[in-house]
Amino acid sequence: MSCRRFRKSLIEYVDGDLAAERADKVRAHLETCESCKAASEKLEFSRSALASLAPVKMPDASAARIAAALRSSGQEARPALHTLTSRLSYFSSTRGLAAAGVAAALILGLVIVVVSFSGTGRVTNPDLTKGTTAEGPLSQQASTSPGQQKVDQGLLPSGIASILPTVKVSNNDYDETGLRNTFDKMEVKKEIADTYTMGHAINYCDLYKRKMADMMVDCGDDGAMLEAMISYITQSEPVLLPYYAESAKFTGLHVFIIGLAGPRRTDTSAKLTRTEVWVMNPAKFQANPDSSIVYFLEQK
Amino acid sequence: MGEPQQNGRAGDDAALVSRAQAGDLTALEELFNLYRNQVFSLAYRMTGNVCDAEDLCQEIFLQVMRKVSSFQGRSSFSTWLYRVAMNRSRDYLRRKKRSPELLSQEGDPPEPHEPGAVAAGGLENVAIASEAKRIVQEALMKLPLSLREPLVLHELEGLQYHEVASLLRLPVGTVKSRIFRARIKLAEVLEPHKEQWR
Repeated sequence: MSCRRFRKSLIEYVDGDLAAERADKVRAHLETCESCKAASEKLEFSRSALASLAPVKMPDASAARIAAALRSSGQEARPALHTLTSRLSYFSSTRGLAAAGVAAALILGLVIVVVSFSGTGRVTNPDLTKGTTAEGPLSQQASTSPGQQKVDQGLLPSGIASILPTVKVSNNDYDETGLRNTFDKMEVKKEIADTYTMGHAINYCDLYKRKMADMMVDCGDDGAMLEAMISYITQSEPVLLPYYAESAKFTGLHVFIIGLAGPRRTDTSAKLTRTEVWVMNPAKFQANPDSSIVYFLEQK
Repeated sequence: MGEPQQNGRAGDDAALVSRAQAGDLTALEELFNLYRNQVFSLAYRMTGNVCDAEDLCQEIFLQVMRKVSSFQGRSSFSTWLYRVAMNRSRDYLRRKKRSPELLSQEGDPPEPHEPGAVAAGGLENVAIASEAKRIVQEALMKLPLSLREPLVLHELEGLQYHEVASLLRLPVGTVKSRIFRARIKLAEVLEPHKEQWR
């Protein structure tokens, strides 16, 4: 019998799980085959090593924190637990996305965004990016008069803040420092941290994704691509609120820059105090989403 | 760690799950208490440190809370929970891999040991045992994910081959082959420290 056939039984032999007759054959083979003997010794050794690992228990403090986070999230999202639809991907087809966007606008109709266009054709939301226009790359944007973004507060669901996704189209060529500065100085980031909770993210994440994609289409860029990127990023962590997107350059490469807010892990307050910035190359995204990630920043 | 079916009897699980699906937060909390050690053990073996394991556990149980309504009872709750845990674990490690600066720093609390260990062998034996465990855990983290997953599930979490195969959506033969390779590789990584186990 060849070594290959014996090797299939080696683990069970070492672990004592082989029937006696078969075990005898393996034992006889090991006496004549140095290679298999060496393999069985390694298997025996690893068994001893693994057996030395005692079961680990969750520390009580960790359990208390997680339980509190569950209670907090559960209480905030209680209405959504009954009606939360599964988070399907948005990136099946452009037609599907368009239909979803129209349906969301008709059904929800709760958020009114006025996107103002500057004389150079760029889109800005100065109310949301206040504090940044005088510094850093955003100062290159043509300014718009205050209040151009209108939000009818009366139409917003109670509990939802007036912070809306920010979408820009620019030729800014960021470097790592410039990008960090942009997000560090964003007032909208601070407002999200102060105002939003996990419950908001659970309940309104889809709304923000769709609004952002719609706005990108209005700006003349590929809304479907943006929505696909956001869905790809959030599929492993659905409770991430997209609040910023920009078509820009990063070290000379055309990219989409996406800002998301998430809950601070292991924080019982369940506030969205964690910000992620993803820089993704649309040219590579369809072929291999993972390879399209150019830069990632997480700030807590 | 025991077999999945030893944790939370199936009948009791079904009642709790049913209540959780109806929005009963108390039931969710009971499920958390029933399975927290099991999930933490898996998270710890996959991430290699307590801090990341805690983060991952929170993500897992929050996902359970969000998705429990989609559990249809085609498998045991324990199996479903393991599947959620494995998926979150992969995503968590993938995110960490993209951002090495986010990996937890050294200085995590030591792995808890059995309370009787000190009395049984003295502090020196406890220190040696702790060092051995640390070495093995570090060696585990050196295995590629494709080998670490089946090894942890079968050897440390006590799942049978067919259960691991079902969880990882692999043929049983592939699971056995990967565990074989994982144990060989583990032995090779631990070779310089072999004296710890003599």
